[in-house]
Amino acid sequence: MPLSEVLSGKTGIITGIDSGKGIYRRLASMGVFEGREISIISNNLRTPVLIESAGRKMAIGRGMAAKIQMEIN
Amino acid sequence: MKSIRVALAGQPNVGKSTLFNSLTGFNQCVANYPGVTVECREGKARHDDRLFDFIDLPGTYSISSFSPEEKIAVDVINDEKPDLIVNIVNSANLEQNLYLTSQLLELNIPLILFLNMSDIAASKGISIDSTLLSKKLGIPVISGAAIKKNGIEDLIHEIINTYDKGTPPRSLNYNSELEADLEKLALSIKYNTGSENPRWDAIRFIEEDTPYKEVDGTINELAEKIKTGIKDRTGSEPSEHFLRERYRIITKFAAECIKQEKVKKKPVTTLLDSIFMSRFTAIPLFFVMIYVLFQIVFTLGDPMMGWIESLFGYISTSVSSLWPDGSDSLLRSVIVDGIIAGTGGVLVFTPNVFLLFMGIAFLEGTGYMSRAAVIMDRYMSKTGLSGKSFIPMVLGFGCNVPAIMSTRIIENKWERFATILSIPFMSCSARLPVYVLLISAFIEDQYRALTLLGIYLTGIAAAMITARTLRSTILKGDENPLLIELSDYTLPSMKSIFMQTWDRGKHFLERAGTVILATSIILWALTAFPRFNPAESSLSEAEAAKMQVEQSYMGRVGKVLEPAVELMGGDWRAGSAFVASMAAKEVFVSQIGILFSLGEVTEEDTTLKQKIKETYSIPAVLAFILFTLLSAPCLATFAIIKAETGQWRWAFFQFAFMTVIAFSFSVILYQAGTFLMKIGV
Repeated sequence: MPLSEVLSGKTGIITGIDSGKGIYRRLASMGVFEGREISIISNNLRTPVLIESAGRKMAIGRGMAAKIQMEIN
Repeated sequence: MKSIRVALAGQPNVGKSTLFNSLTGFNQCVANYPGVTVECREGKARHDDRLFDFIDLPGTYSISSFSPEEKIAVDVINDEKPDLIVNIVNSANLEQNLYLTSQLLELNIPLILFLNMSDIAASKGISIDSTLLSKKLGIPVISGAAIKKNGIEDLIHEIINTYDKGTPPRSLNYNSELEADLEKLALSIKYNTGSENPRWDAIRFIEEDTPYKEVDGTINELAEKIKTGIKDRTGSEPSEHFLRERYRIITKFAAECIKQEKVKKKPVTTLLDSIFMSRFTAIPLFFVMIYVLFQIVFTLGDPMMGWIESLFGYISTSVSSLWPDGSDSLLRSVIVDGIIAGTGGVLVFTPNVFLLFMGIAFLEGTGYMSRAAVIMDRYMSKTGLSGKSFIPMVLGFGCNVPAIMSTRIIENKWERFATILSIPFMSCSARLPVYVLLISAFIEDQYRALTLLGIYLTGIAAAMITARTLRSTILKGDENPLLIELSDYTLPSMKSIFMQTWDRGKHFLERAGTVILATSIILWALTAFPRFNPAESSLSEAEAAKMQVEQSYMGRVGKVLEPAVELMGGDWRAGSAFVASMAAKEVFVSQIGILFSLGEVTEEDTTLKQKIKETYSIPAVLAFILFTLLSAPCLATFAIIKAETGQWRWAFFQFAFMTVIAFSFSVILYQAGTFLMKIGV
């Protein structure tokens, strides 16, 4: 399911990113790409999603979050 | 003795600036790249009888030259040819940080890893086996905490030690197919170009979308063949394949070298975020922060502005007194009315500018600034901007100049330019005296505040519409959704705050000394020439001042513009006052006072209000207010737009754009108002 719909507190693995090259590279250089485990710190379905990946906290805009697919553990 | 050239590389939020400051002291300089947010600082130092040249590279997550910041980091490394690189990493998320390390290993330049914030990592139950990590990476590893000055001595010793040895690191070992590809390409590059680091060149050729260097066809052909091979073999883009390979290796290293123990205590950051980022308290707290920032900048800054004003007043009278009373010496006039008044008018903002930058440096240093961007993103994204534009926009209410300078916190060039060009519609404090004069001349007491609110809201709407329009037309740029790291909350060191404030504030002072000084002299000349000779008639001083302006070039421009100004209900006086107010908006008040033969007056002068009421109609005065709000704010803003975008064309574009908008809407307002009054609404 898209990251933008995963509820706060869940953890899962990224299965796909459906975006242009530029955004893919920005995400990937921060450690967000297929196969990585991330946890959702907070997602209130209105503001950017806060996630954590290997100790790094990040905020991802809702539009971008909708393009990231993940599988919840 | 030759100094050791050391480049500091690291991802954002790893405490790089703090380490740089503790290594170099106060003798630093900033190399600026016009139009880009990136700053690259250099500083000299002497430790253990050795000389050092430290270069602080921009913080980047990788060095693949996909973004402007990364390109600059790569260019600086190529141009400056450092003797060695210190890679600063955040020990609390080492694994993520090692991605940049994996690329730095390929540069063939001696590398040292500095595990910063090891105290924070320890408090989170993270322990790092630095001996094992050093063995795995093949480079020296030093742990410490720059903010507490831990590990700095060790780092300096290791820099000297590594420099004396001078052995470059070995790069990571990728999978055998990729290694075979690299070897083949590197061999061809070495043979054809004699490159010093053919392996790095080979990696860049495979990773980049466009050929990374000018070379003859054989290398490009081979690179393309290899790229197609990788795509066929792995099913992914070569750059993505490299990325996965690097992460595969560093994840393995991280698993072997990092131990995570469970800690009972909730981290401070989680606790603070549950207050600052919570659904209910985030927005109120954000406005409290903005309010405090405003209070600091304007309440604390106001008395300081008063001091500077009196200082310039004192200089001005002292210089004037060198000439006999009533002298009309041209030299006196250019010095007092041109140079001193012109630079004084801009330098008076110095306290505001420095206090503002200090506030921003503090908020950035604590980690709150990135959260503020997240909080406001939802609202700002409707205008095509992101949350990062909000604070610069709000600061525009105070003064457009520091507001435009504060857009440096926005990394994306297009978004930053759109913000810069929208800020001037935010009604700055210099426009207030004009509103006060014009509103109080016509509008009843009880409606004044409401009118003023209406003016500010109109300005905000104009800024929003401008941003939206620019972002969907000429400043579309790449898609730039919000993606921002939220670093742990920290208390920044005073030194870092002062260094950052000084770095940024210095630009403001430099500008006041150059562009603004030159333009104030030009504007002075326009009102001072041609000279009016009062000796031939027995005019009062106020009459003489009026005659001087009226027959000056400025007055003549006003008269030439009269037909246009008449369309919004004005006359040549209003025209000249508008032209003069290009220097600074508040000049409108004194200029129109002079033109009504009242001498130097303020916005509270009742005779001036009376004169305005007699001369202009209500629709005309409302049109003047609208013109004041929407036209280009001042020369300082013009100069700062040039400086911050790096191009004159943006400054001219903004000036022309605002003038057209202001004029069109003012004419519409006046004509519609006059029509409505005629039919008796």
